Amino acid sequence: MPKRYLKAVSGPLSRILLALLAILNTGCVNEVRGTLNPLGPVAERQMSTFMVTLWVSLGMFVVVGSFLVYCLVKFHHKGEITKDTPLPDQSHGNALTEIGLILISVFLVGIIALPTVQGVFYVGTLPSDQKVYEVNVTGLQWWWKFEYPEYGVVTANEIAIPAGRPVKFNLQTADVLHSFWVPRLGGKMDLNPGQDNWLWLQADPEMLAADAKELSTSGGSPRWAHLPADYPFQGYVLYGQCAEYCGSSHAFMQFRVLVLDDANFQKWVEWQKSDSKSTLTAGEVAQGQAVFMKNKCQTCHTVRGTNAKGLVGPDLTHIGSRTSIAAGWLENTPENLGHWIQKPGELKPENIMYVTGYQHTDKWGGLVNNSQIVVTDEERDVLAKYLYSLK
Amino acid sequence: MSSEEMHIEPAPEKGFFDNIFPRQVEPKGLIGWLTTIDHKRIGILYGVTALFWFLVGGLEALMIRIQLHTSDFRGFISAETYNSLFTMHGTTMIFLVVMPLAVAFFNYVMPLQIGARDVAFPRMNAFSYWMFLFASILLNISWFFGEAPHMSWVGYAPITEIQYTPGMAGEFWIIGLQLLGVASIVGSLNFITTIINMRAPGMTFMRMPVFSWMTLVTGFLIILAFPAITICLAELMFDRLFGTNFFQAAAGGLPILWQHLFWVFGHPEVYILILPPMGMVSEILPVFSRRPLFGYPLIVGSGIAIGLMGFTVWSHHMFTSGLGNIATAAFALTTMAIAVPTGVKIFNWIGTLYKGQLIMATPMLFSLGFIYQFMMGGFSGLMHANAVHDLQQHDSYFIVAHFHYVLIGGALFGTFAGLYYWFPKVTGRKLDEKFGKFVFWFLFVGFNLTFFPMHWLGLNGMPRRIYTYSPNMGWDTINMVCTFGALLMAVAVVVFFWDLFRTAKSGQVAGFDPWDARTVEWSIPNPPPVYNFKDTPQVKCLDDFWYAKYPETMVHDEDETMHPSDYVAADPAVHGHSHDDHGIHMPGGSWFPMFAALGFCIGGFGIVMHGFFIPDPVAAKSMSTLSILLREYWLAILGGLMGVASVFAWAMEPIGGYNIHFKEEDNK
Amino acid sequence: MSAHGSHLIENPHEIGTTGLPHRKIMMWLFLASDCMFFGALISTYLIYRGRSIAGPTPEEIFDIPLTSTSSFVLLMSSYLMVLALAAIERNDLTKFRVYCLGTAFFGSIFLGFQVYEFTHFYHAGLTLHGSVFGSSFYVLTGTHGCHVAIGVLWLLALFFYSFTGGVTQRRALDVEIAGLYWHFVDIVWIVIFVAVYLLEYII
Repeated sequence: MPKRYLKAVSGPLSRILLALLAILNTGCVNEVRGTLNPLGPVAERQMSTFMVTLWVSLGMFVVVGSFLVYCLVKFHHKGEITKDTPLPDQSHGNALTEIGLILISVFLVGIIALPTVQGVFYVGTLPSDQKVYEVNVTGLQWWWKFEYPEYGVVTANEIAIPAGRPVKFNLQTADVLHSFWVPRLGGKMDLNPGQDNWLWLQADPEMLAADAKELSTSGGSPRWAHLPADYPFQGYVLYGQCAEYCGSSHAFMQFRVLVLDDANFQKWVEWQKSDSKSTLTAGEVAQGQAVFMKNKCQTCHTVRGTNAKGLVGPDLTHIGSRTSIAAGWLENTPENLGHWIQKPGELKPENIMYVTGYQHTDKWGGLVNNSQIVVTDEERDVLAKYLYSLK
Repeated sequence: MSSEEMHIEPAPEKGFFDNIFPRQVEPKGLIGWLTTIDHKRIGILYGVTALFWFLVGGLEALMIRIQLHTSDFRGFISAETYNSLFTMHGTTMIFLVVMPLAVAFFNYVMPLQIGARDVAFPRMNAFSYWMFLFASILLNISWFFGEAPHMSWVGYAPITEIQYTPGMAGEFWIIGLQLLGVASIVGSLNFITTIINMRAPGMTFMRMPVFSWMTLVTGFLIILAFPAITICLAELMFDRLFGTNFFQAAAGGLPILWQHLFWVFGHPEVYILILPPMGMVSEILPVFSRRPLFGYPLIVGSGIAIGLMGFTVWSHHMFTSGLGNIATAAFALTTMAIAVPTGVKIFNWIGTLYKGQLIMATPMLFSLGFIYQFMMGGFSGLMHANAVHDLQQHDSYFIVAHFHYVLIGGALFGTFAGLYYWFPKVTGRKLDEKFGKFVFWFLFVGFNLTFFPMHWLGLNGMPRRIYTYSPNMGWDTINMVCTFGALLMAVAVVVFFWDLFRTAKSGQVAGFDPWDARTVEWSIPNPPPVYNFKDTPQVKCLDDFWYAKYPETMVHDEDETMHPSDYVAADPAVHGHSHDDHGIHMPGGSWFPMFAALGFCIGGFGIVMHGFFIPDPVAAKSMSTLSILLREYWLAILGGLMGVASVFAWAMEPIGGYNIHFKEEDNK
Repeated sequence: MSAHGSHLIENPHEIGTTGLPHRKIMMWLFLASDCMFFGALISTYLIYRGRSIAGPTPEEIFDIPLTSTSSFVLLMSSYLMVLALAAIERNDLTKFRVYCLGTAFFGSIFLGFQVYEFTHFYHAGLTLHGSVFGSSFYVLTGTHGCHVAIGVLWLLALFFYSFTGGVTQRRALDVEIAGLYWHFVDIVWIVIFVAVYLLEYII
């Protein structure tokens, strides 16, 4: 019942609103997609209850607003007011009108209240009729660590989820508050220290396909829909972001969600579980590892199958396979990797790698000489090439 | 009011400190302002100070908008500076602009509206102002130390803890807010007492102007809500200074407690910000519609209802913090319920316009802008109450749009309406209508251009408090529009200030009762004499001044508050309804409120600076804990002692002052 | 108050619309505000109850007979406060001095108990930074202790002021307001004693 009821109310209006937004969108980028273009049941439920609220609000706005405008036009007194100007009506209220308006308001609020309460329980309750995949999310300043407890996969800033399956995200933080948000799959949830928060999301394959089709016909570059052409699987990429202020580089704490079909998801899991196979020659790998070790990258980073076993920073085992680097901010190319390695402070102020490893000036203008890491241009290229080859 | 001649005679009493800091009799010049305890002067001081911080906060906002005008914009300001800017912008606009602007009106207008000579505790009133001034300076000098707070205005633990925000930024923020809280609580105790106990004879509660009513409700909200933030700030301060574990998750502390305590304060605070402008608008609409306020009892009642319900909805700021389904649903429902009294107010305002004789003067324009924008903000508020979709809206630009609609579109437009309306009362001069309309339209268009598109940004996934965004998000165009709107607002503000200075110096003289107003504050000259009312007004009905001018418009119906027979006889022995043989006694100015405030603020600064005085670890080994603490906090202790000593001196002061005698024949 | 109160007021202008003196109204308002301060602190304590990771636990260190004694002393001081006010309203300055000093003395005894208790707890391992129990316990009871200390100073000030002619029958309001504060601090202690100490043996 509730779903049909919601659809009936929200359908026409959402179309009007989307048309309005499309006008807003003209000229700018077509791939802009947000909470009003849901790609899963959670986001859809949220959007449709929003539409109920919007519908009621808009109705009230039109009625009350028109009456306001009517009053302004009709009772606008032009010209001077003198002693002889007759005074207007001097009544000071009408009990029946006032009670009536209160009752109407209560009724309208009731219309919103019902789907809200139903929606709260829908969004806040795990589906019990099917297998729920689990991902443990840890937020750190300013990147995301993802673990699949069932598969023993550890990755950073990029997750894959199976399309059409509910996924439960267990949210933990290692430091301050963060908030896990994939706008097109559903609302956000905070990562609170000392608290076990969770959130379930699901990507709907039909919605994804329809959305991708719409994007391709409208001629926009479907950056947020399809995986890059050179990626081993077909699938979709969605963007996610930290939505709770968490310090200097809060803006740069993003992540990406790959949506794969069941078969590809299993392949992805197997791939990420195994050690990475570099595409380079043994000599090149050795050279890259030497630069890696020289700069003590292994203190913080892990590359499985090598001596790098640090746990502070993101796991780099399959860094070459990721679509982005620097917590979702840069596209993963050898050039971007090199730039990031050489000048991490430029992109993400105060990040740990920069503050503890690189020579820099503090805010007082003094030189902080932590220079364990000095990456020459030559080393940068070697290292970037090595890391990019870790697929 | 015929008498301009009066005889002033100083009161003879002499006190202990009279040789050094005597109570001032009719002080002039700078000393007059420093020692003033006149509610009108304190109101002006509050207003001027708040308008100054309005410029500072506005400048911060402009820098934020410039930073965000396009994607991946770097090199203008650093991310750290940006974070300080939005933190200080929020803190400044809420605590140093909107609240004190309202307090300026509480001070200036409320005693006049209820027919009082001053507030109940004039020296405490001065103390509130000085406390506010010094605390606001303390908060803002953080910029010069390069330690401006950068934890966002809500300061969600644990980012405010010492391990994530080392240095003075945390203390500047904590101490600044703590001292501002003291100023607010002390001020509110004063206003409530004044309203309860100093109403003119016949001024029953249901004859009191709505603005005074909202002052009363706001006062209660402040004294009941501020303790919550005081306690959570104190707990945070203890965490930072003495290593307690209130918000340290590793030791079992719950950072979520911060959010609860903060919003137990924070949500009533929202109504603290909006109720006074609601009161102002409720005064202005009837005057410029030339008919009584529609449903006065309901407007008052809904104001009280909003105040009460404001304490039951705090967790709607925390729907994404993992409250659980039951709590989420419950707080969603209470939040929706609060929409009803809010709606009632809007209905009644529009009901006032209906069948009126609308005069589109600047105060009226701002009030109408207030109604429209507050309605918009109310609707987006209702959308947040939808806890299902709030998970999407939370901490996105949708929220930013919402609260700016309520705070600029609502509170600030209402306050501007009040400024234009009461400016003649304060200065005796009327602000220019042409410039007023220019300011209104630029502000109105600029505001809607800045903040309406932000709804769209939020729904499309733009989180708030981000330094910059990636070009492939597609948010560039809209952000450019927002920034353009902000520049329009800046133009309006510059013109407004220019007009303000111009008019205050040489504007058109307003004369007596320039707006054909309704309430008793307009029954005295503009600006009012220092003693306000020569004869305490005898209030016979709501809108007493209007019915004195237009007795034929009195409607005799079932509404008892309007009936002349309802007049409550006052006991002259108790109320002293007019000046007797002793004349009007005016208390003298006092130095000590300022000294006390200065002492406490120096003490606060001492706590901020404690890091400079920590003895080095080697030397500290041979010192006792007490002597380490004494070294570390010597300035704090000194400042605190100065404050306490000033309070004692203040308590021992004689009443002092002077008596004003009018020539007897003037009354005949 | 208005019926019999006006002769107790030095400055009749201070009596307002309600017939009550301004300062009395303000004191009640302040106490309402103070309730919220203690409400927030007690909430913090109760929320953190049982969340400590390190010891000692409340059961290990609380000494109910000892704290009951000090609570009793504090409650009795309220009785003396009532007598002090009654004395000054009768214009019995000598009795006022005795009872006023007695109230301050009982308050000081309570503070002495608290200092002893804090020292004892500290040696038993309960520190401000050791556990959330320590943090919330010391800050809550410490805040109450500060209130008592301010009250004692206030009462002593009244006591000394009475020798310079500052406390008279006409200014009994000064004493009444100090009394309001003192009774409030007492009542808060009853709540704290139940919520902090006795609760461990109830639930």
